[in-house]
Amino acid sequence: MDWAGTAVDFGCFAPVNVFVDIFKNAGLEVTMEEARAPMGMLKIDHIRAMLTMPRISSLWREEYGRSFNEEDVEKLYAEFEPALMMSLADYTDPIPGVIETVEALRNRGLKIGSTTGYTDTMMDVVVSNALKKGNQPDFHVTPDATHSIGRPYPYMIYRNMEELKLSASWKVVKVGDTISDMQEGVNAGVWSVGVIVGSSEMG
Amino acid sequence: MSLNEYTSLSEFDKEIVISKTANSFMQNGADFTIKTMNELPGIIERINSLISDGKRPRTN
Repeated sequence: MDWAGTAVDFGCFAPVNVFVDIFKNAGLEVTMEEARAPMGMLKIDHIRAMLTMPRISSLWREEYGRSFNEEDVEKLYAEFEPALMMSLADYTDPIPGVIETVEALRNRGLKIGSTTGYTDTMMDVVVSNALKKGNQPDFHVTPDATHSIGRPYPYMIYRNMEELKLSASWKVVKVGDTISDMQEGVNAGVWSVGVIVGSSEMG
Repeated sequence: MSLNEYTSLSEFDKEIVISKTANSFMQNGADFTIKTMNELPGIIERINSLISDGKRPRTN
């Protein structure tokens, strides 16, 4: 199971506004749709994916007279992280139906793992607040545990399978709210389920 | 879209955004889409029965 947009934070709003703001501070007006398209990726990869979009790449060249480079990605991320951390706790309410469903599945003997595009530092806030509100999977992992290789790579799912002692990917179901969640599931060889209402992908 | 924005949509507009989002998931490799997490236990039952028939992800 994914976190923001799936288990907590209806609409996946915590990161969206921060992405728009950091680009605005850099002199670039990006749309909500552009800010949402790479959602689910590790956040620094998300920034790079936005800069790679043809329209944003050309805005960047107009503003700076050159193409963006990795240093620019890191500078934007250095602004992103503290700005996200400021508001993250406010976006940890469970999405309707999640707590009951997790409980029902657990009662049937299923194990509930989780993956995310947030880092460990971000997840400390999300997990501790979600727990207070009744939301608790059996395991959570971030790309910090997979050499910062997040979605669409499948490794976080494999960390869950290892921890929860699951025998085969085809017995695992991945639930998420973004395109990168679906790709992660496909790449891991698990069943992928997209949840629509409350998703980032719904816009 | 926030919960308030979503609930204030007409039924017709809800169906439009739901089907658009479902298509996007399916085009990117989803085996199934659900409107809400309440539908997940039912989908898992269906997946269990597909597995019993020898099916695997992405072969549905």
